[in-house]
Amino acid sequence: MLSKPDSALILVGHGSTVNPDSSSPTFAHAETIRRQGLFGEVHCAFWKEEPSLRQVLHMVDCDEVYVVPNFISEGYFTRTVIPRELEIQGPVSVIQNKTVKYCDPVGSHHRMTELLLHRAAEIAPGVPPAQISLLIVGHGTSLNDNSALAAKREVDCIRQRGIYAEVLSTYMEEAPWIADWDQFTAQPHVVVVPFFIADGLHSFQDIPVLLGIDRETGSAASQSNVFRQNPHHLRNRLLYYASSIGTEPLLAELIVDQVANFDAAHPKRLSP
Amino acid sequence: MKDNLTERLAAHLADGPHHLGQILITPISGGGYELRHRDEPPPFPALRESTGPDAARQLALYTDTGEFRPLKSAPTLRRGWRLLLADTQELHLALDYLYPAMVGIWRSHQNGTLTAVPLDQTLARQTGMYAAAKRIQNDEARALIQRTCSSAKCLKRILWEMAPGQPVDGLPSGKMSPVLDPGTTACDEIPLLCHEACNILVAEARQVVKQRERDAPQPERQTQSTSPES
Repeated sequence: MLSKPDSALILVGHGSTVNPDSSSPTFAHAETIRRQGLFGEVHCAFWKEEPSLRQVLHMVDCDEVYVVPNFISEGYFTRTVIPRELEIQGPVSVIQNKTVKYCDPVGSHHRMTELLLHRAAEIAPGVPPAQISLLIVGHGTSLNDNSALAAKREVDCIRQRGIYAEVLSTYMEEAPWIADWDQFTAQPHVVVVPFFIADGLHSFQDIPVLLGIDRETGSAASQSNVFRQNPHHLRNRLLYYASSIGTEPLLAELIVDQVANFDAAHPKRLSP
Repeated sequence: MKDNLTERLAAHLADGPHHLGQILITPISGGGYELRHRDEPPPFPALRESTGPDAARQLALYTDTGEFRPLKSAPTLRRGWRLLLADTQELHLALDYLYPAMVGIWRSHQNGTLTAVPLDQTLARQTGMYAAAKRIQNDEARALIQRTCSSAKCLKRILWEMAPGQPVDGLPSGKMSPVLDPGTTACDEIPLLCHEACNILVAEARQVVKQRERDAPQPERQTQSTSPES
């Protein structure tokens, strides 16, 4: 078990100025890790909310800080925005007299596949996987960095396990379009897992409309009184819609593991 | 750990009630702290009581009318509650939910290690969709700051300048000072300090530039960035 009583963990999320649920998973995972007592301190920081990336280091007591992006993939935010705003120079940087260690984003952890499988099984209990088309839905286009590539990678990993009749990646803004889900799936049961960090605008408001569950964009997930009832009888199929993979509680384990992975890849002697 | 922020906070609050933003922090005899809105009208026993730091995040999330509060230093903290915290550890976490980073930034200011960043430098490093913000003109920026950063929108005190040697003008002098004028409040206050323009101001600056360029497109207009945010 990792133990870093003299180190701080900063978990970085995107956040939102319009959606109250965007930062919730980041706060929830931080609280889980805080309660485990693995680190001397655990803090969150955000691009669009507070504490900001420009503020967060002032909150830290420890001289050693691990930064883990709570992002689904490597890309513009993890390579440009977070390093720029925190003034990170490389894997190990000295900033405000602290040694800051920049870890890989949680979404690139090899156990993400396991989490997707866990969520897919949870959402359609008792349904034989041989009768399920599993869809991993990402944003698509270049907007969300390499998230489309990451979704494809996860689909390949799940497919290799030979559990489900079909496993496909699908997107909001590029083909194969999630709105056409019934066109490219063959099984009577269709399980959809959003490959997003939060139940924000996309996974809770946009995708349900594209799937045909909702007729119009609803309120934020936390403000909705209507729990989604799975399965949905749509287009002569049974559709099961999960909440975003980033809300999976097991993600906290992967966040901690990214710190262990950093230490394994960057032995102490390489530190300045 | 050289400088324990929780211990420093405990020592600072030991001499009685303090304000932080719209909160009144009161040490409870026998241990722990009570938080409530500083302008809460009596009777206080009518306040809805909750315990523990997690409740603070929920209290900070929405206004009285149910609107999301992305900017926690907006003067829109809901009323009607009192929050009981068992110790300084819980208090510190609760304050970080209610006014993120403000206790830590107060320490850095006290230590002389808080460096204010001029607005022109904040805008100059923006990329992607926010790269447009760096094209804001001085008069536009002044008007924007008056609209976005006034105490009606944000309670933080501005420490940054428009550009080195060029202070922000058009806002009351108290808004630009890290310390309160003596005698203006009934009890001591931990200030809310803004050492750098926030993302909300940067996003608004982009909107101002985009609007101007839409209204009067210039032939020499700069090429748009092709990064993912644009």
